[in-house]
Amino acid sequence: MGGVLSYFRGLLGSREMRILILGLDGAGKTTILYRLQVGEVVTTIPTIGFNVEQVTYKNLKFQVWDLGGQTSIRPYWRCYYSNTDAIIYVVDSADRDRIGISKDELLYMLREEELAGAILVVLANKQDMEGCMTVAEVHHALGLENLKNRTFQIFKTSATKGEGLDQAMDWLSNTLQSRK
Amino acid sequence: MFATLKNKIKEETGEDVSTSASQPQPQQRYANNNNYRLRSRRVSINSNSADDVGGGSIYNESEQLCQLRSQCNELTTKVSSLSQSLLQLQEEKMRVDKTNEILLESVRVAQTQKDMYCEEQEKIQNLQQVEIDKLKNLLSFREQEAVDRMGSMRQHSQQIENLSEELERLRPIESVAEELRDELQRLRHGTQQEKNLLTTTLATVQEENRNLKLRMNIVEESRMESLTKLSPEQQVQALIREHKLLEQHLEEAHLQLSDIKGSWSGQNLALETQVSRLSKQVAEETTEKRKALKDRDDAIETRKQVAFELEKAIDEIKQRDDKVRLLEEEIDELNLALKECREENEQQIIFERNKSQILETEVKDLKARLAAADDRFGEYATNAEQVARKLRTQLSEKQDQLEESLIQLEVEREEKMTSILRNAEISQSEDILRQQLRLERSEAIELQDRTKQLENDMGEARKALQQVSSAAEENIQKLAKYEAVQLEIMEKNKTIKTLNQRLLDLKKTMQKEFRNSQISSESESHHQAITPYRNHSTALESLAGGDKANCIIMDEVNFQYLKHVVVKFLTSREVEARHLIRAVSTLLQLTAEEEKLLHDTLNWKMSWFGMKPA
Repeated sequence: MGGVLSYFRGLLGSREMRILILGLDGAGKTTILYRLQVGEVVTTIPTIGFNVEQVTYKNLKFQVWDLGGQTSIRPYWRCYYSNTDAIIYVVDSADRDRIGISKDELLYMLREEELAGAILVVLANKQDMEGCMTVAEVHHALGLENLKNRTFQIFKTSATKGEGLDQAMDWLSNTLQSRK
Repeated sequence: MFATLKNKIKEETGEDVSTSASQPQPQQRYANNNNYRLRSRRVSINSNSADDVGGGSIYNESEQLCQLRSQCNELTTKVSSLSQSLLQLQEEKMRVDKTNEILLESVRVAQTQKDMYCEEQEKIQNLQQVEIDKLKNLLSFREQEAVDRMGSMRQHSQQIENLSEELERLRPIESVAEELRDELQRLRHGTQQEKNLLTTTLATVQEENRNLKLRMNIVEESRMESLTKLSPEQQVQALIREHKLLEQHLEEAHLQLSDIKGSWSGQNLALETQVSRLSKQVAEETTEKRKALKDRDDAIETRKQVAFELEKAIDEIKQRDDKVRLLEEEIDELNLALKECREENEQQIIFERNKSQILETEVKDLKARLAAADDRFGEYATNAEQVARKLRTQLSEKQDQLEESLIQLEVEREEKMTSILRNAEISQSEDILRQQLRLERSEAIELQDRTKQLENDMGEARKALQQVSSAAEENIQKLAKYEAVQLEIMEKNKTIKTLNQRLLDLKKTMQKEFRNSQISSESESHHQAITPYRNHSTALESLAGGDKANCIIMDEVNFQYLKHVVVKFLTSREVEARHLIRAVSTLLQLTAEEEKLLHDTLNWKMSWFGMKPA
């Protein structure tokens, strides 16, 4: 009897998970989105606006929003925060100059009430570039050690090489499933 | 041995066994057994009769009974052994039959093989015959051709000979023609000479004639002179005489001349006729000669041709001969092959015949053996039938028993099957029940877990309730404060509104003043001072500020963003569009009512029922 109930709940509960991909401009958000959806590296132009795609990963459906990260359109991010299950925050590991801006934007975003329940995944992207920051450096630079009351994890990735994305998505899907 | 046995039987039965002795040997053996059995029976009967005579005790009877039983057992064992031997014999017979059949089949096969060999041989012979006939025909045809060629050659040679003969015949004619030509020349020469002679004689005669005329003239003159001297009569007479004489002379001369002329003309005519004849002859002969020459040339040419043809024909004949030789050689080879084949076939046939003979002999042997076996089998069968009858009766009894027991067995089996089926059904139902039990257990465990969880939740909820109640109290206090603050805010709002109105009035008056005064420089600088400030203000700040003026400056990026968002809002699915309402309303600075309208319209689009919101 209970098994049947759980089965129906599984059927009804198969709604799409809503995920936002955020980060400064040129961090590789669009590349990551299409790497997740198509499995290939596509040539991208700076996103003025957003891209939204359906991504199926291990029988889980995600509605992934990739929001443009340019300075003038960053304020519009908050228009998309409602009903968000997870945030993928992408950091350009090779861009040491703007890591501070990235940290500020992250903290400003996490203060929003609508994102209080959202899981955070930080991707230290562009790990294939020479002289890039390590995961520990990125962790420290973003001040993640001070983060409290937040389910989060940091991963080192290379969207162009396709490294680290699978681990990140595995962790994310497992965490979302266990929370449900 | 048999004689002793016969004697024994005679002694015991008083009968003669000579009738049975005439039977063949293998039956005698069995008869021996029969006799033995008869004898044993006699013995038992005798003993029985002896017991009857002796008064008979029960002990003896039981002994006899035991003996009889033992005898009976022996007999049954014998019968079984006999039946086994019978079976063995039957098997043997079957085997012999089979071997016989196999041998017969092999003989048949050999026969058919032999026939096939014969047929093949005949075929080969026929083929060879046909080929030889063909070759012979070819050969005869070639020979005929060669003969024809020879005949034509002979004809040609005969022609050549004829022509040569003609040539030889014509050769003397040639000499005759030459002679005739010479004669003609000679005759021509002769006639010319004669002609010359005649012309000379004619010239002499003419001179003579002239001389005579001259003489006559002289005579006349003389006479004239004489006349004058003589009397006229005399003179006339003399003159007449003279005249007469002269006339006579003249006539004679005329006659002579005419004669000569006639002879000459005749001679001339003869000569001319001769010449013409000769010339004709010459012409004919020249034509003949030409013809003969032509014929000769033709003949030579034909000879050459004929010689050439002859050579050709000879070559052809040689070729033909070669071919004929080759064909003959082939024929010889084929004949040799044929002979070999024949020999081989004959050898094979002989071999096969030998085989078949051997097989026939074997078959005969086997038949003889079979007959012997049949005889034996007949004997055995006769003996066995007797035994078998007894055994059959026993068998029928046993079968009856068996049938009864079988019927019982079937009944028991049916009972067993029904019991097994019941057992299976029971086990199935047991399994089903066990599964149900497991399910129920698992459900029960789940339910227990859930109850535990619910209890925990209840505890938490109670705690939360307590917290909430405390919070509610606090809230009530806060609400009181809040209401007081709200009242203050309302008052402040009113004051703000009045201030705003005043501000608007001031703005209007300011604008009017600007228009009136038209002092450009100062006012522009003032505007420029305001715009940068507006550029810095973000959309969020503008929203928070509640300023209805153009707070978002539509630079290139913002305009593109607006366009992109609106297009996406219009084109995306309803689920996605719902998330875009906030962005659209922010960008277009929609009021709360307008935003709600968008929200309701999307809900109406997504649901199947309901009214379209106005």
